[in-house]
Amino acid sequence: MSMNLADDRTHENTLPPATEVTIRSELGDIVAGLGLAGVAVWFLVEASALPDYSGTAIGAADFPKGLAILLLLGSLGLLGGAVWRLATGQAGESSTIRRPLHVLIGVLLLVAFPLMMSYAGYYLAMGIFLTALLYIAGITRPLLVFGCVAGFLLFTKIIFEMILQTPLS
Amino acid sequence: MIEGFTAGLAAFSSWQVVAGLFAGVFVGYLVGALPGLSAGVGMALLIPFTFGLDPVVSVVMLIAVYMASEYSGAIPAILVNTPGEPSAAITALDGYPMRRRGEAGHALTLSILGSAFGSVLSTILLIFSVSWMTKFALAFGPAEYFALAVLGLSLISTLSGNSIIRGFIALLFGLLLTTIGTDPVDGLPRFVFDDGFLSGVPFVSALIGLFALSEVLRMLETTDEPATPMRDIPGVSGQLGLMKPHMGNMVRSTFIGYIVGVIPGAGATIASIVAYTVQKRLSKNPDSFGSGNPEGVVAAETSNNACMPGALAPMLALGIPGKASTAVLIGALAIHGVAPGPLIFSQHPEIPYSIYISLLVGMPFMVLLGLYGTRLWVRLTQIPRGVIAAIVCAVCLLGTFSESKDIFSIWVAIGFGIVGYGLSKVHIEPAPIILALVLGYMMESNFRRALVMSGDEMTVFVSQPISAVCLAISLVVFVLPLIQTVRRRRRTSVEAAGYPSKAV
Repeated sequence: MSMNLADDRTHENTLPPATEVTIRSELGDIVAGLGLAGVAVWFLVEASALPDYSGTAIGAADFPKGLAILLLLGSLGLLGGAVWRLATGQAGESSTIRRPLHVLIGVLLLVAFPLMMSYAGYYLAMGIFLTALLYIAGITRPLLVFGCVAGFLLFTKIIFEMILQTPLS
Repeated sequence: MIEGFTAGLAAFSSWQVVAGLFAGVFVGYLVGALPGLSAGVGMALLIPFTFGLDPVVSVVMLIAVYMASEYSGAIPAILVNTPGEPSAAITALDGYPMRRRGEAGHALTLSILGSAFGSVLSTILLIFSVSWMTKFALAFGPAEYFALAVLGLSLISTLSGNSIIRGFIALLFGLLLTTIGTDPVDGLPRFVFDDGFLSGVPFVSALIGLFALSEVLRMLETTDEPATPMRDIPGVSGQLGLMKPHMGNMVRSTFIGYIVGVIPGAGATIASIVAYTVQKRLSKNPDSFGSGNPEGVVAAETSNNACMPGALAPMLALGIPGKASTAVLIGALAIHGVAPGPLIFSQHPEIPYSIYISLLVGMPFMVLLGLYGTRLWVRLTQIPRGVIAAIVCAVCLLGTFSESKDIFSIWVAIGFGIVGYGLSKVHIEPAPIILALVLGYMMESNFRRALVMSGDEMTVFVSQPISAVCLAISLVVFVLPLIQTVRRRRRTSVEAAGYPSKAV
């Protein structure tokens, strides 16, 4: 994994300059392979604990078990291929994440939104979330931010609550 | 068929359906013209707005979005060399050089009239081929449906992306997710670690997360990139005479687009590439392709728009989504309690016939908006990417919540969004996961029903001719690319070792 500091081309943003994280495809494949293998193993273990009431050759647990075994094989194939490429020194394609800090903050904002909504309700939570996300996305002119947030909340109120009669709060 | 059209036309007498059609075309143009948003994303974002609507209005709106976004991707492709849809990248090969020569108006006129021709002729092909496919599908039993699902999934996994193993993994991951919830035969809860999963993974939340929220995270990487400047906006005119020299090209490209569209997994981009390559081979000036040959624009645009009705054929006749956009349509219909497949023509005839009518009736409106709304669509490409990312994200969250009125569905969408973003970084695309989420239930339930009906005889899948043929083709589809990969690797290693390879 390497990090390159590059000039931030955003004129408005006051966040730290844009960075790039380049991940070797082998490392990405190893992480993905392990994660997916973990998912497959979880399904296998849970399926083994399922009772069989069907009285037929293929019960409720068998279909997911078969799929989990195939996924396990596939993810081990991905993992094995990556390890083999690392061992033989064959360079694969690399994957780049530009502005990782912005992406990470975006993810954290997403996670915070449902928590905020439980306490503050839809309109306040969405207002705070959208303002913060616009800022992260490089939109810092107050009038533009206000216009986007107010416009979206008004759109929600008119389309969802008044026309489609979908209560949001 | 006459009764079906009567039912469809009766539905169109309602102002809500007509308004839905116009709104859908407008939204479709908006989605297609904005780089980064595809037809599937646009349709996924629109689903929450359709919950409270009549099923016909809902499906007409979504079809209009699908149709218009497939075309409007060509506008920024021609004018600013930024394809609004992936398939429009082929249009840009000749469209943008034409624009640089000062022939932007000509290129835009060719692209929209070619699109209109491809879409209308392809819809006529759809109407006739679906009625034939439906008669055929009525004879299908569980074994045939299982085999058909396997065939569809095998094509999708091998055609999507560059790596077969990654497509296969995405597919298996999606299929495994469909086993969460109540078992389709015994009614036993499986893998339900939260009560919210009792009726399975919420499809709309998964769809919005995998497709749209993951795209928002990708957009956050590039929100600092400035929009492509557009100094002058050309005028266009609907001169039908311009199309005369391209009639053969348009008919050929329509058939190519339709056939490619019917094949699961092969989308509009493949249709554009095939039609473009065929036209280049047949052209009197093949060398000018890539430097502004109008034939290239016509071939690419006609075929990618003809592909869309083609993709609807297996969805309507068999209930099998060939691509992500049709999976979104199936999901939208399921919300209204309508299941596509051969029975839709007898149980809900107004749905398929409204789709046909909206494809035909919406076309003149689409042409007019395309020809005379160019200024507006080009201005859309100048909207800061940060604003688009934030608004799309807000619509995603609003949409997921409004579907279930439950914060749990927002958590599911966010989870899928993060997983989808992570998987895209290791080149595992979300489309096969979405298609598996639609086909998984059909696959498992028919597999087990076939076994129950045959008294646990596994030979039931190979003793029926249709299922045997489907399974044999699936095997070939899986094995053939693997053999080709092994051969290619062997040839490369032989060449790398300095030995001449055999001519193939």
